[in-house]
Amino acid sequence: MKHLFSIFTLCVLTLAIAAPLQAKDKFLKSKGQELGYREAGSFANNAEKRDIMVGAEFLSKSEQKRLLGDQSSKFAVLEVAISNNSRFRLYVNDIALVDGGNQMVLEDVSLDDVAKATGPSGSGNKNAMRLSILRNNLIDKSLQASVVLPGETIQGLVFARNKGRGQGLELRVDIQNLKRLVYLDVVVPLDQ
Amino acid sequence: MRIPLKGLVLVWGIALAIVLVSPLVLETVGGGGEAHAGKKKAKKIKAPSVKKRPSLSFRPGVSRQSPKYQGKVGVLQLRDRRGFKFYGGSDAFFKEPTMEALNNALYLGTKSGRAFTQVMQVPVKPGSRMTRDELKAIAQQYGLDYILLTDLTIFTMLREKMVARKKGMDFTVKVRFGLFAQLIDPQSGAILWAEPVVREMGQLNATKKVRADAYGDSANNAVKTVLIDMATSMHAIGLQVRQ
Repeated sequence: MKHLFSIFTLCVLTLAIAAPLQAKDKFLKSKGQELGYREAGSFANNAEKRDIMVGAEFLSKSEQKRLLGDQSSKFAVLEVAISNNSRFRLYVNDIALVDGGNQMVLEDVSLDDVAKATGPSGSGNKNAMRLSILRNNLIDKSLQASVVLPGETIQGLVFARNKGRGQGLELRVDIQNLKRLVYLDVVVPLDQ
Repeated sequence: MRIPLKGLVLVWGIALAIVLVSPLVLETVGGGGEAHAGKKKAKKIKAPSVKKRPSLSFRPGVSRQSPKYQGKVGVLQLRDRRGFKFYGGSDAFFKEPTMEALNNALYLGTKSGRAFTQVMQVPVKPGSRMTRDELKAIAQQYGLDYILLTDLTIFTMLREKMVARKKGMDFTVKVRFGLFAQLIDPQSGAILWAEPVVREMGQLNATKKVRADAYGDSANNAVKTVLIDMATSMHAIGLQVRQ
């Protein structure tokens, strides 16, 4: 009986050692990871105008790695949520980062630049797989021009260059009403 | 029966060897195709030479529905709201300049969708915030009853591995195309129809390089499908101005 137990233990150890190592690839791990759902009001930085609330927070390095597979020191990543508590359908017309001191709008960050800085370089099947996962992650998880229904909250990532980024940064979200051509700016100071 | 310790260690060693070695043996002998693909390495995706690039122009299919809106609609130029260019920071994957080709496709798609009695391509590139006064001025200049304001939200190529494993040449190449369009009555500023439409088309790619034929058809089909679905949606849920 005790020999049978030893054999069983050895078999389990054998399988554990020989188990495929694919789960350890950081980009593969990031594939199924999503932003945790929460409303804009629960963010450390938030602002409300006419029942439209925008919340934003900087993501830590570990969170960036969890969601995207890796992180780059060139870019800061913001998690942004927009909650529509009004009775209108809304369209997120534009998202911009503004230097609060001199009211200068910072240059838009292209996702191609983020992918180049964060992803692997070089060819080969492994790098091709990792880059494809990263591009899919960036498209699916970044906050893009989208419609927000009444009662809905949308979330996504916004990227900012770390170079030249001073204190007093503000997130400006330009929102359009989809019943009549009217616009609204919601500005969120990013103190925290 | 008592099994000696040496025997146990021997059994364990044989079991470990079988578990580690057998996938390699199967790949080389049993799974011939997979082994051959495993030796191929995917190359970086680069734009093909100009002569080999696929065309983004196609003949649109004409809808048989009667027009819903009596009057002339002006199709403004697309606003580029993409995060990614087509691939690798470049749009130079097609014979024609991409934005020009997509603007033509939007105009032809709107015309063949037959939601309007008259369609006109307006050579105006809209700003990021179009006011009612600006649209009124455009409508007056070109004699328009409606204006179609469209954002290009996504037009990019994605390469995905079919099996979540580092080895193997089992990729699919997909093209995702998305628009957000608004049909606006310039006199009242009322938005009669506003919908996002995103479609993705793809095919298997088991070669080292991504050639023109790997993405050309997918791009054309994605664009065609979006424009057809846009016209269908306009017909189905577009509001009409009370006369």
